[in-house]
Amino acid sequence: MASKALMDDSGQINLDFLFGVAVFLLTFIYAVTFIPGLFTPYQPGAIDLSSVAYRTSAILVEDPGWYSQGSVNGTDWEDNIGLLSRIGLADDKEHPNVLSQSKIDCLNEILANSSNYTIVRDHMGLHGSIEYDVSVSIKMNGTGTELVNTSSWPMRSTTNVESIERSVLVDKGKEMCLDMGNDQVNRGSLFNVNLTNITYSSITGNLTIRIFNTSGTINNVLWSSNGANYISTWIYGTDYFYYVNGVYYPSSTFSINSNDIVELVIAPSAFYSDVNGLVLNKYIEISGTGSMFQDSSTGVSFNYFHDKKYPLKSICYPATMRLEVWSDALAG
Amino acid sequence: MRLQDDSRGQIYTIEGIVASFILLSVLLFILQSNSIIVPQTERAIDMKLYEKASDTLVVLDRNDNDSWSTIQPLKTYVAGWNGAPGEAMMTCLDNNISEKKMLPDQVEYNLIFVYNNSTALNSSTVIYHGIPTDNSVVATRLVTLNDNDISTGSSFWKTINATRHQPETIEVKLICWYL
Repeated sequence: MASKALMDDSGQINLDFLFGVAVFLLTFIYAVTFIPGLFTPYQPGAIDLSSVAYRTSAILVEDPGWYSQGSVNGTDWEDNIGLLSRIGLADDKEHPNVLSQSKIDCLNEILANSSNYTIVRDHMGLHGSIEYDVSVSIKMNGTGTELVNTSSWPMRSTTNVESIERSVLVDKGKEMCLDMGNDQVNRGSLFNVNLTNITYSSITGNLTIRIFNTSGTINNVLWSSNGANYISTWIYGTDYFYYVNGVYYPSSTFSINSNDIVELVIAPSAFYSDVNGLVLNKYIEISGTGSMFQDSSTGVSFNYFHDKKYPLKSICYPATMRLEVWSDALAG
Repeated sequence: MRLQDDSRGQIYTIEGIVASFILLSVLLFILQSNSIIVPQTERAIDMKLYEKASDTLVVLDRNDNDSWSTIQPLKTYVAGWNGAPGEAMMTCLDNNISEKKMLPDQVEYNLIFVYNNSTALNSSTVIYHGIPTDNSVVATRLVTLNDNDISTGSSFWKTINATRHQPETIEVKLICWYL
């Protein structure tokens, strides 16, 4: 019957109860809203990925890294991979944002074995109480060439990814820089570089002479043991070769425009040892045309390793490092 | 007796305890759990832009004696500045920052030199690309010109330095904002 259903008061909220709850809720909301900090100690901790991304980028860009085993330690971890304790890509502490090409190459080498990713990640400080994942990319500005083998890094697995970009210079190594436009006196067709008192065993890599701000034709590269009799036994392509504006040039003679940058690379195999263990090829002569070179008088030569006027300089190109950080540890 | 039989107003004990346990454990779970967040706040975005701007000045301000680069050192530009905004020397710096992609595409910037011209502290806008928005960031770098830099630099610094014979310290301010 309808009248019975209307009279049935079971399952109804009591008016007193409703009033009590309303008063309680109003008081509670008032307390939460107007007393700041009351519940701060009970708030869930949120881990901010952007600080992790910044911290990792700072370690990579501003720190040269570290290797250590007791009293044996230093920043050239790329030569002591077994003792690696922290990965950093900077040349040294004094030059933040200047990355060393050899450290980037070493990082690529380590990551060539995909099981080494966790080692790299752990040495970037990304495996503490929480495990993060990371991927790094370093692109040259202008050409867009990627320096890091990006396939060695994991694909990001969540949408919760933080990224940071840093502007850097990449140090390609040291070269003798010959700015030939500085000095308009003593100009001629020859330029002489010497390697006097350099031990043969110290020549381990390519010697590179960078020539710019001049025009003409480079004809030949000769060597001499006494600075008087120059001979041309060096073969183009094996003993020495040119890079013109960064690209390998297939011929030993070519003309330079004033805005070209020429790198003359001499391979270590081109040098011989004399009886005292010093370099036999003590003098190198670059011969060109017209008045290409400054300081071009016979008998004047400049030491490749420590000349004051033409010191070895780090060759730096602008690039952009991009770093992505995410974590699966607390996902879901 | 009627009083003992009356079941109104009693807590159903088991259900009550179970419900409170569920509530407490949910509360505890929420309080104990950590979450990883990517803040999309203005602060985080400004931090990234500031880092880029600061990096740009750090990268430009390198020592010419021990490194060679496609970009000229900041000191060379500052020493070559002749005191007027928008001149050719600064176009090179402009190109270094924009064409070499030191700053992202959607970022605009102004460059200001702050220096002392023997009477007062001067602030001069060297590169002007518009009025900065509210959320712009400023990165600064101090450049010191010594006698050697001034003697090979512009006549502007020579005039200022003629009566003082002390190194000139110039604050380079890079103001960046998103378009």
